[in-house]
Parts: sequence; C-alpha cells; structure tokens
Amino acid sequence: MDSVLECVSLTKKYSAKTALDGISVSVPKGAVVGLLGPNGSGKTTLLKLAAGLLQPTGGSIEVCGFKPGVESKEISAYQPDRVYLNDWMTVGDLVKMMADFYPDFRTDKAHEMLKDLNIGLESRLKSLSKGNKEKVQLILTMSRDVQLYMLDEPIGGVDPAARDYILETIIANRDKDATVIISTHLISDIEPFLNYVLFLHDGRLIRQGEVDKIRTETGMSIDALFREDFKLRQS
Amino acid sequence: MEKTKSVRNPFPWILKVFKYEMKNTARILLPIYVTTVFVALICRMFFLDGFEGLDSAFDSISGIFMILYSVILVTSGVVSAAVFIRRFKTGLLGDEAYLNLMLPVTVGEHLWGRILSVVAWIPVCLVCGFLSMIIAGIAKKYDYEFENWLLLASIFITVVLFAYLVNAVGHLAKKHRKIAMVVTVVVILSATLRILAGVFDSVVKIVKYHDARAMSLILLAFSAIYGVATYFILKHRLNLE
Repeated sequence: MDSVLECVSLTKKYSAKTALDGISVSVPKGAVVGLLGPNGSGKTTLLKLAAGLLQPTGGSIEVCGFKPGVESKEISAYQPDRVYLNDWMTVGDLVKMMADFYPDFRTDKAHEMLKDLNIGLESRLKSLSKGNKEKVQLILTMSRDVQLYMLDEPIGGVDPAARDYILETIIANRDKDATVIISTHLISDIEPFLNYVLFLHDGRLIRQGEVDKIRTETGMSIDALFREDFKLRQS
Repeated sequence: MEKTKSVRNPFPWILKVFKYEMKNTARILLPIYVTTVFVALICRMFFLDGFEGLDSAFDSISGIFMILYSVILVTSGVVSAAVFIRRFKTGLLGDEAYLNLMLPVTVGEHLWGRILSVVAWIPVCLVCGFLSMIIAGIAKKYDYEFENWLLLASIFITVVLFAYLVNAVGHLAKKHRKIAMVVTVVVILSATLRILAGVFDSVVKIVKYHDARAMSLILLAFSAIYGVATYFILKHRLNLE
C-alpha cells in the first residue's frame, strides 16, 4: 500500500507540554482520512508538522516521500484552522496570486466554486465575514490538483447549509488517487465520506484503520465509537 | 524512502515574492511620498525666497506649513521602515505566514524577495525626500553628495534587517515575546557597538573616521550578518504555534 504521509516516532514538545508523543502513522494513498480526537489531542500539531510550519522535536515525517519543504508543498495543500488571508487584496487578486505561485492551481475551478457560494471576485477580503473567509480558503485549497490535501477544521466555522456543499466539494474536486486528511470534531457530518480514520488522544495514536473494517469489528459507527473511546478515557 | 531534492532556479520565485511585496507596500508608501512632495510645494508657495529658519517659521501660518512639512519628511522615512518591518512580521511570523509559508518558496527566497523590495524603495524614498527639500528650498550643499545618500540608504537597510532579526529571535520565545525582543535589541546593539568600536580602532588608520563610504560598507556588512542570522532562525527554528 502506497503511503502519502509517513511518520515514525514523531514527537513534538512545546516547553513543558508534549503535543505528539512518538507517534507512527502511515496514511494510505487515495483515502479520505478522518483525523479525530478531542481538543489538545495533537491533530493540528500533526498537520502543521506535515505542512512544515513546525519543526519536530524527534522522529521523522515525510509527505509524499519528501521531508516537509518546497518539494512537499508543490504536491500537497494545507488549510490551517485559522483565517490567514491578507486583508488588503480582493478575492480575485488572491486567486491570481495562487495561480502565480502554484502551477497546479486551476483558476476556472476556483471561479466556479466562488460563484456557487455567491462570493464575488471583486469582494475585498477585509469585508468578508469569517465564514466566507473560511470558504474562500477552502476553495483556494481545493482548486489545486495535488496528491494530498490536509484540512484542519474545514467546516468548523461555516453554517450547516454550506457544510454539505463544502464536503461534497472536497470529495468531488479531488483526483481519485488524491488523499484528503480532514481534522474535525464534527464526525457525524463527515462520517459518510470517510474511509480511513486516525484517533489521537493526548498526543498518542490510539486507533487507526479502515472505516469499514472498524465498523465490522466493533459494530459501531465511527461517531459512536469516538464518543465511546473518549468517554472511557476522560472518565 | 525519502526522495531526493531537485536543484531549482531561485530567481523566478524571488521575483514573485518581490512583486507581491511591492504591490503591498506601494499602496501605503506612494501616497506618503506624494504627500511629502505636495506639502513641500505648498511651503514653497509661502517661502518664495527660500526658508530662512525656524524663528521666522513660527511667526506666520506659512511657518506652520513648514513645520508640518518637516514632520511629514521625517515621518515618511520612519513609516517606510515600519512598513517593511511590519510586512516581515505579519508575512512570515504572523497569521499571514500560514499563506506565505505554504507557497512553494524557500525561506531564503522569501527573505531575498523582501530585501529586494526594501532596496527598490530606498531610491524612491530618497529621491522624493530630496526633491521635496529642493522644492521647499531647504536643500543644503551636502545633501547633493552621493556618499551621504549611500550612508542614508545603508542606515535604512541596517535598521530594517536589525528589526527582522529582533523579531525572529523574539518569535523563538514561547512566552513574554516583547521582553525577549527588548533583551535581543540590547544584546545585539551592545555586540554591534563593541565590534564597531574594535573595527574603527584598527580601520581608522586606513580610512578617515568620517568617511561615509567606509561607514556605509561597515553598516552593510552588519546588515548581511543580521540577514544571515534571520535566515538560519527562520529555516531551522521557525515554529508557527
């Protein structure tokens, strides 16, 4: 099985806190992966390490066979859990900028999705609501043709009506060989799309595997299993 | 197994970073420079025979314009440096870094693109400032000397790169970043001044102490040291927590 994200004994410490405690992960190619866990379990840290925005304290991480760097950024897309947009641009300017830097960026795709969500190209990023800014960020990420999409809480700040469109957009717009890693608390919303899950708790990997296999083995949905796993650990 | 990295030409990427830095800074800097020249023109209308000193300036409304012009002239230089420093801070260490650092651009290319934009703006800033001084009629003979322009440009670059380094070091601190930055300023300034004192003790025999060109070269050497230190911090220690 080809792997697009490979971590071996990956550790990340912030001063006194250990955010990731020597985890080893292998994410299969072509899967829609749910990166699940309660707050502070290490989900964002793992994605930031893969994006090269953090330096690991120990162990190793590879994205599509490369250490995080220019090469991995050319073939992977990352959406953080915060608004990063530069307020001085219009949406159209930002689309042009992305097309300028990423050879795999599809401007037509971005324009189409912006139109579907009623976001004008001439809109100033400064004037957009937080929810619309998150939609723009997601559109920019999903308008690239890459091997790996890493989305940190992509639907957390958007209204339920837009959630379905966004999730369908994520799944419909990727190449069938591309992998999507989605970190979220809203498991019931994304469960129908998932075919692989990683459960993180206190920086440790407590469960990973194919969704169908887990459902068969446990007789539970991923949402129910998540509640069960973390209820037990927190009690 | 880790794949091998390919060697690539950095210049197209540096130019792309440069292009967007110029676009961003132009919307703030151009109006400031235009205002400086415009206020100088108004001053000239009041002081047709040239400015005769602050004593006369306080005597009339025209004097208020001259004071206003002087404040704008100094502010344009200070604001220019502040704009470049802020661009570095928000673009590579703040929230916008999540956009910029995910671009397929190396840390070195990001830094060079920004430094080039600073270098490109310096002549514009100096020419506008000097032009406004000629218009206002306060340009002195030494303002026409190339050495003084070079020295001003070197001071400007050194201040900006010094601030880059201070911000980069401050970002390493998990808590109390502002205190860490103040400590960094004190430490780097002390080290710089000690080295400068040592250099001048020996170099002074070869070049004149007030040689603007020699001073410019030494300042540029320090700028290079600050730039390299900033590069290594961003490349090996950057953590966007």
